[in-house]
Amino acid sequence: MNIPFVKKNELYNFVEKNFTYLAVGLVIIVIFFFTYFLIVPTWKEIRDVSVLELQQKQTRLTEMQKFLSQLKTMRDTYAEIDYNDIQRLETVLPKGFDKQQLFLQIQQFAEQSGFPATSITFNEKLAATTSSTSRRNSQSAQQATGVVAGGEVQEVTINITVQGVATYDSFKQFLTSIEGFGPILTLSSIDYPVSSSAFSMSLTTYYLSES
Amino acid sequence: MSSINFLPDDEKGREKPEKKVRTIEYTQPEESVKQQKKSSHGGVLSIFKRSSNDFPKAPTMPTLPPKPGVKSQIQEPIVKSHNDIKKVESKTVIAYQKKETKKKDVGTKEKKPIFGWLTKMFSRSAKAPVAHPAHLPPVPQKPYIESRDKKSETVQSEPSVTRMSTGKKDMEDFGQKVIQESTPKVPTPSGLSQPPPRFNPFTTEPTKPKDVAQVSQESTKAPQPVESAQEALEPKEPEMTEAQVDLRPRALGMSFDVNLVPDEMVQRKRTMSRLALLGVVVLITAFVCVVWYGILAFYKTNVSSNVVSVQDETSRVQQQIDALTPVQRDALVLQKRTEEIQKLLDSQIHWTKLFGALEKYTMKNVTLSKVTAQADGQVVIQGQAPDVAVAFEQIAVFQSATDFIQSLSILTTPSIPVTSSSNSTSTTSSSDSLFVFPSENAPGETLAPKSIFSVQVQLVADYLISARE
Repeated sequence: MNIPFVKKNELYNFVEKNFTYLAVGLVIIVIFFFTYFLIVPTWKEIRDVSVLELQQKQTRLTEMQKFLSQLKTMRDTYAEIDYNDIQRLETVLPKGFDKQQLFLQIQQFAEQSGFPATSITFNEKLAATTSSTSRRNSQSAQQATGVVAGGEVQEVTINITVQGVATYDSFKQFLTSIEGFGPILTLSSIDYPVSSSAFSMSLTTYYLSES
Repeated sequence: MSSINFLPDDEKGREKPEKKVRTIEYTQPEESVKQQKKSSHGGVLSIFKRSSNDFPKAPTMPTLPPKPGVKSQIQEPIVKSHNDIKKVESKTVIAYQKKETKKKDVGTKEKKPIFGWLTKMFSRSAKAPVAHPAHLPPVPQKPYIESRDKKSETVQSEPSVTRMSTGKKDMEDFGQKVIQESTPKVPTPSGLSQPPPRFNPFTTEPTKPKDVAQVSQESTKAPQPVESAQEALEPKEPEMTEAQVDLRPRALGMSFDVNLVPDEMVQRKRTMSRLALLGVVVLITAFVCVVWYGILAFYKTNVSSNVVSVQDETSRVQQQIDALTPVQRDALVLQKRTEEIQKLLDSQIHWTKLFGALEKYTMKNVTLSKVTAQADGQVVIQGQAPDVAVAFEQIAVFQSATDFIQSLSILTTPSIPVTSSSNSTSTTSSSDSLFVFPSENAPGETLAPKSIFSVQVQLVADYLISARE
């Protein structure tokens, strides 16, 4: 092997005298080169991107698995509920305000009680029964599940005039019928006896908003 | 066969065939050497003869009789080239022999003050023998010549081109000295002398330069036999000149550790080895770094594969969640509805409960003519009693009914009963009914006098809302 520059005696002497330093220096240079240009960028990429991304995705996966288990538990519990009970609950507190349906229900209720209704009027307004605390809890539950479980409870005021409430017994029977009506009806005030056979009163019913 | 090349590197392979003269050199018999030393060659010719003082006393060694049929290696010829001899310099001699050569020079300067430089010049030419090529056939054994008259000890194979050199003669002298000192001086009876014994360098007796001069002087005067072979075998460092170094190994068939490689070449070789070692160190370091990088790359790949697997698992779980979303919505709506229904039922007003309490706490001879109730629990009650005492007694009963009346205030105190006609609008007492409507009284019926009272009561909190009786 003939290397021109190696033939110089100065280089020979330099290599002979400083062999240890040359070796250590070269090792340091090589280590620095690999560390600075290859190892450190790779390690930073692993630490800042890959590992962090993996941790986030694993956390997300854990949450989703936990939520899935809750959903499965909810599905099993929902499957155990009788369908008739669910329909009855929907009747008691319907979802959305359907005027025609409610009018028919009130009229049918009056006829079945023996006190035919002469006039029915509706006055829709927001319900005041739901407290702010329960509303906040409902909102937080919706945010947690990501599913809208129904809107706020709203109420409708019904002004109704019935006939046939002539005796005290019939009056009591009429009150009992109101308390047992499907959609919840609330009689806010009573003024008895009435001056005539026609009995006018103000009832309040409730429903769940669509949103 | 040992071959030593004293030529510098630059002169290798630069042989000139037309000038190359090879000389086959033979050793000289002991007797001829003695006679040669004793013979006087005065004048200028004497300067071409190497003085015996130039050569140190050769180490003695035990003589072993030569095996029959085996040629002694002392007779190994040396082929030299004159051109090559001129180019050899004294610096080609190895380092450890230089020191001894200097000592020898110091000792010999006093002996040859006049023509020492010229003799030294010739001796220099003799110190650079040409290596005998290994591929050449060995030179036949030189016969020993008994005649003392012959001045020329060499037999020229080609008389026209070869000649005997003083360097060769020095070599012969050295060989003769070795023989003289190692063996007792016994005159050779026959014409042909016995071949010199094999030279063993490791059993030689080293001598100092000063001793060498003395020995050489003694040997020129009168040869003295060796006292004993043990003295010859004593390990003394021989005093060797450059010419001796050249002569010794080949003449006696020794294997010396003679490093004839130039220092520059040795240093260059060492430097190259050091550079190679540096390269190995760098490669090892680079390999370690590459292995380290490979481990990181493997870890990165592993993390990436884990990310991919987690993504796949996440998407699979997301699909299951999407499949259960309708059920979840229905369940949540049902849950919400149930909660709201529970709240509404808890706030439901039960008016029948109020009328049941009124029936319970109203006396038999008292009739309630009007009841006005609000959802907040304020109830205004008007009633009729047969007399004032009964009216107050009824008020006292309401006041004592603490299970549903929290407080009571009298709006109208019971008055003195007044007889009223049938067409009045006031209510009349009835035994079987709590409330009496005007239409229930018979027309023209005379009503008994009644004491009228009116009270306002505040119901117990949540009495209308609570469903319990």
